[in-house]
Amino acid sequence: MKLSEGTRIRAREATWSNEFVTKLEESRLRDEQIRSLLALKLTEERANRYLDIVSAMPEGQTGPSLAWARPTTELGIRAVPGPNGLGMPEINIRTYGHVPDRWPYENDTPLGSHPTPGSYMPGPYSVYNKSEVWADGVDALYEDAIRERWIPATDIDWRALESQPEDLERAICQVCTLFAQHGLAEQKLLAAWEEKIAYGFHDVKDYLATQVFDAGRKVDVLRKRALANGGSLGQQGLGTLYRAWFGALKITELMVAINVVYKTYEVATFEKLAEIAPLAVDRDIFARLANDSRRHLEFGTRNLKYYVQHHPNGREYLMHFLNRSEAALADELMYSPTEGASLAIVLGGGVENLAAGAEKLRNHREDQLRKYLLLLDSVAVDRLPNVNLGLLGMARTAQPA
Amino acid sequence: MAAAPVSNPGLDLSWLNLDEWGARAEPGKRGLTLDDLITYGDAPIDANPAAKIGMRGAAPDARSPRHRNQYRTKADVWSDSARLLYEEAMQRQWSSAVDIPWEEVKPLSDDLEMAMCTLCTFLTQVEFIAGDLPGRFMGTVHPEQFETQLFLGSQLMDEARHEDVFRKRALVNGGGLVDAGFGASNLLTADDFTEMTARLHLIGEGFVQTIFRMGELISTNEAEKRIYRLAAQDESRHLAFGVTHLKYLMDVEPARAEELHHYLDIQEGAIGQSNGSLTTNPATVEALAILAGGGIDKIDEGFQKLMVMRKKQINEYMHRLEVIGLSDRRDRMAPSMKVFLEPIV
Repeated sequence: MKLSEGTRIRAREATWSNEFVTKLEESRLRDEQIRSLLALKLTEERANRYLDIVSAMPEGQTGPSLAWARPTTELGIRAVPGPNGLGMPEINIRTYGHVPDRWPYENDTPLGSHPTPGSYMPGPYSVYNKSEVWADGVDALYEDAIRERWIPATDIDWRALESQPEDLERAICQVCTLFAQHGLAEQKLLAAWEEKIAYGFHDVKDYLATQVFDAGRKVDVLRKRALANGGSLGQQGLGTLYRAWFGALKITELMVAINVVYKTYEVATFEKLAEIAPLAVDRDIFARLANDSRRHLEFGTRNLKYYVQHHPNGREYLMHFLNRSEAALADELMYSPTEGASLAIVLGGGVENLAAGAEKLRNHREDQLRKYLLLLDSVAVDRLPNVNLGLLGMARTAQPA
Repeated sequence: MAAAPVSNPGLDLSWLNLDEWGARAEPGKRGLTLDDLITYGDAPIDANPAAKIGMRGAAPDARSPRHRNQYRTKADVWSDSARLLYEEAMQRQWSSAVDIPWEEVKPLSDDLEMAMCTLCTFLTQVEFIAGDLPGRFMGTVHPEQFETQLFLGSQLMDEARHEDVFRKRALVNGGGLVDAGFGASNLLTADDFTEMTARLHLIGEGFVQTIFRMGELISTNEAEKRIYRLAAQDESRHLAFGVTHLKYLMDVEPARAEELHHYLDIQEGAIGQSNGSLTTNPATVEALAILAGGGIDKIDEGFQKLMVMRKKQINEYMHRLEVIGLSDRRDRMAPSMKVFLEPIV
């Protein structure tokens, strides 16, 4: 075999001797294998040792292909750890940080890489448009989620739970039952959509994995709380809320339904309980949950912002997504009144103060709606003229029976 | 004891009068774990026929909408270790940003660095498949067996971290990703929970775990050793879930043994023929051999070590099959794997 001119030139540049080049030409190695050895910057001595190994192989074998040594990707990358270690933002550099508007590959080729011809089989992905899933800074949110992790079994001081009046205990247990149930549904839906997101958006896939994990932790801690202080699980929530989640036809619709509409309400409730729950342990639990949910809401907000700014039909589609999501939430709150009633008892400080609790609940609903509308304002969506009348009504009147 | 009946015009307070009451789960030495709650309701053999989303033990709401695609039989999804493995996953989460001593990664010769980048490219591909697939099946777990769902959720997190840590390693030392090979997309053809467990957890994760546990052989520094140690710890949980699910299935529904064998036929065949495995894919085999040998000029030594790894993979796989109750697999294993089996002593 005669070396190609290009390989011969590279061999000279590598200071391989003419004798060694002749030896290579007489060997069983192919030109592309020798190009790989040169790409790996082997000295003549090391290349010669390798040649001896291949020469000792049984007749007919040409040795390793070494095709991977000449990739079409960008090399020479040296990511440097930042103040929080080597996070995802630190490795999102050069071509490895450039996320295209539309991901071109249908298999599990990672961002910055390209499929090898002959090894390119399409996968089950269906979300290829960046505008549908992207959120600026999602890489940092992923690292935040990992840094802020906590463990229900051991980070909660369960032994510090104290007895409290039965109506308050039942109300807290009811809240725990409902939000644990929401966590189950949230986890199922987010996990199910993971496989549809193209590999190039791995930052989003990674982030969603943390939210799946968080949702499981929510189920875990709230179930434990309901069963740890003399109470029990309460009434199952209606679950009509999930019609908007299971019925989401686009991933952005799911994100809007869970991470914008629902999370605004969830964050406000967790923050309120972190403030007013009678037991310190409960305040701790809800403060931790609120922190997690704020991260989810932050992702939802940034995703929505990116969507309305970059998707050609984003604003129009969003109106429909919001209509459906708000309607499902309003139906849940109206037809499954246990959440409102249990919150009213906690807010009022007991069943004997139910009237005061109901008024505080109305204030809470108003606060939830205000925060929701402000959030949409922040992404240049004026929702007030079209907001669901049920949600509006709950903010204006006492909790419906 | 049930509370005194409470009513209030304008608010539905009937839930205040539910009879279930008095649960006092006590934390043990490992805190308040899911196992500590079992006194107040274990997963039933047959889930409620209504596929609804609600917490096990909550008073049902007859109006609740139903959901398709939920398994009703415990054997379809259960592992007696799901609770324990979930709690272990919670305790053993780690951060690729700060728990890996990245400063220990030092410049390497190009052959070693590119071999490591080739291995990392493959791993960053396949680890996400190992998250996407359980994600597909989390929705099929009935809420009465929710512990399985929680465990799978922890696996999604683990796999995302693996995807990220191998990507980080590829991009930290002057290399980069290489062109993507076949990956493990083949696993995504699984259409049943147990099929997923047999092919992904038992075979896929099992084979990867053997490699990770032998990480010392292919590491060039302390950072890589730490990556493999931590990843192996995670994979051990996933593998344990697979083994204990399949064992539970064989214990309660032994008639499904042939079905299980068939799933293994599919995956063993795929490993041998599709280049979709760490130790059969040409690129990763060459990369592993260079790393194990300590350089391309010692690749022959690396191939010998790789054969040891391969043998270990197959024999550990066989051992797990015996634990599950499928000792007869020894005679039915794919020929390309069977040759590595050690004889029964």
